[in-house]
Amino acid sequence: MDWLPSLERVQSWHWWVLGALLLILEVLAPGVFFVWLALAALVLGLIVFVLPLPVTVQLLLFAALSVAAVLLGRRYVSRLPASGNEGRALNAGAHRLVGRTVLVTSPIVNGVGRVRAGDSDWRATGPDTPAGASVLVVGAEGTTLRVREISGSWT
Amino acid sequence: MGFTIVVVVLLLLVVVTLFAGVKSVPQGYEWTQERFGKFQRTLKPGLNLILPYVDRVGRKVNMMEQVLDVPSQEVITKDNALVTVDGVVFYQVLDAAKASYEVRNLQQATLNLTMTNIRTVMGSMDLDELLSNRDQINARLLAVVDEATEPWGVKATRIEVKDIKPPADLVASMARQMKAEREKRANILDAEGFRQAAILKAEGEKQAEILNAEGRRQAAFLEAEARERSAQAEAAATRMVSEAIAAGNVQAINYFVAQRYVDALREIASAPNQKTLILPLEATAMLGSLQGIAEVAREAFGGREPELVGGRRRS
Repeated sequence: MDWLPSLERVQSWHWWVLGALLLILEVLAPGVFFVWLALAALVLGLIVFVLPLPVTVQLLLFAALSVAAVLLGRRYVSRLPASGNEGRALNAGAHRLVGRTVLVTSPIVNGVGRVRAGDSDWRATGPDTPAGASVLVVGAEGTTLRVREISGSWT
Repeated sequence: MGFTIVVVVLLLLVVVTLFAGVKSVPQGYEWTQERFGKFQRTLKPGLNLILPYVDRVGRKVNMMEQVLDVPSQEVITKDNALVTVDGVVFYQVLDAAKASYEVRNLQQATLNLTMTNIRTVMGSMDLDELLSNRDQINARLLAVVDEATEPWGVKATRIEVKDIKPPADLVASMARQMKAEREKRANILDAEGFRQAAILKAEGEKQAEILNAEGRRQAAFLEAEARERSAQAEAAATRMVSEAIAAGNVQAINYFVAQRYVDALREIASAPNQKTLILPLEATAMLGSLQGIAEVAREAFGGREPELVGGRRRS
């Protein structure tokens, strides 16, 4: 029973085992949380392997490393290649219509009207335009599209 | 020892803090972040950090397009037909914050709005319109519901009326009406056919009559011509006979006539009919004609005494 970690003696491989267990937990119960603790445990195991530290210092280090892992990990994840580029088109709501040319179905009066985009009608804000004109979608807020006239297309 | 306990507690605290501060939002959802209960911002899909103990996740809003089944309800149309209607609504939350805080129960609100508007739109149409103008119904419903859900950050993308069921007896009469229409058309076509046939038949008869008349006319012409021709021939024959007579002897005619006379007598005598009347012959006339024959013969044989008929020859 002397291989169990105690408050007097924690060895490096204890931390590694903890890290492995945490990773397993992460896979079984997804939600990006245990992975940071696991990373911290693995790194701490490495440190303890190089220079043996008292248990309390190890625990403090573990806490500090966990916080550091979250902060560094977040920065690193956002810099991963192709992170967010593909997903940006998903659930983008009205933003997916930006850049499209749409048809005004009911005239834009006092800055508010309706346009037809795809197979649905959208509320639109922009310069006053008669019905039947084509406008360009330049932005979106919630369920409202911001439109402007297509320059030089008025007849 | 006390220090060790503090350290352990501290470690637990750090772990809990991390747990409260690190939020990963799955794709398709947006979470709202509340700071002391007040809405702060929306958390996009991916890894998010919030201030532990101060911020917490409020609502987890589904940003995918969702389908709501509109349960069937009874609607009275403009022409007082009671129809059962159900439908389906597709909507998508575009603004998580508005959908979370502007409306209490988004699904129920959208559903009720749609149901009442189905009644409104369909109540202003009569049954025939209802059954044939679904596109228009859908468009009108969508316009109203979309406008109404705008403040909730929701986009109603599509509303479809699924099933319009008139009551059974009404369906039966519709079917009857349809059948009657078809039968009417069939009858009209029948009558047309008969009319055309009669016309054609009459045309044919007319043509036949005309052709008949034409034929008769031609025949009459030809007959007249034939009579003319035969008269001419007779005249020519008579002329030739009279010429012959003028050139020759009268007795020749007598010979012919006598020959006929005798032939006629034989025929009368040999007739099978019992009712034949034998008229008394004028023997003298007979003899006269025989006399004529004799004279002809005499002339022919150059004045020699003819032998008596039935007499013996001298040798």
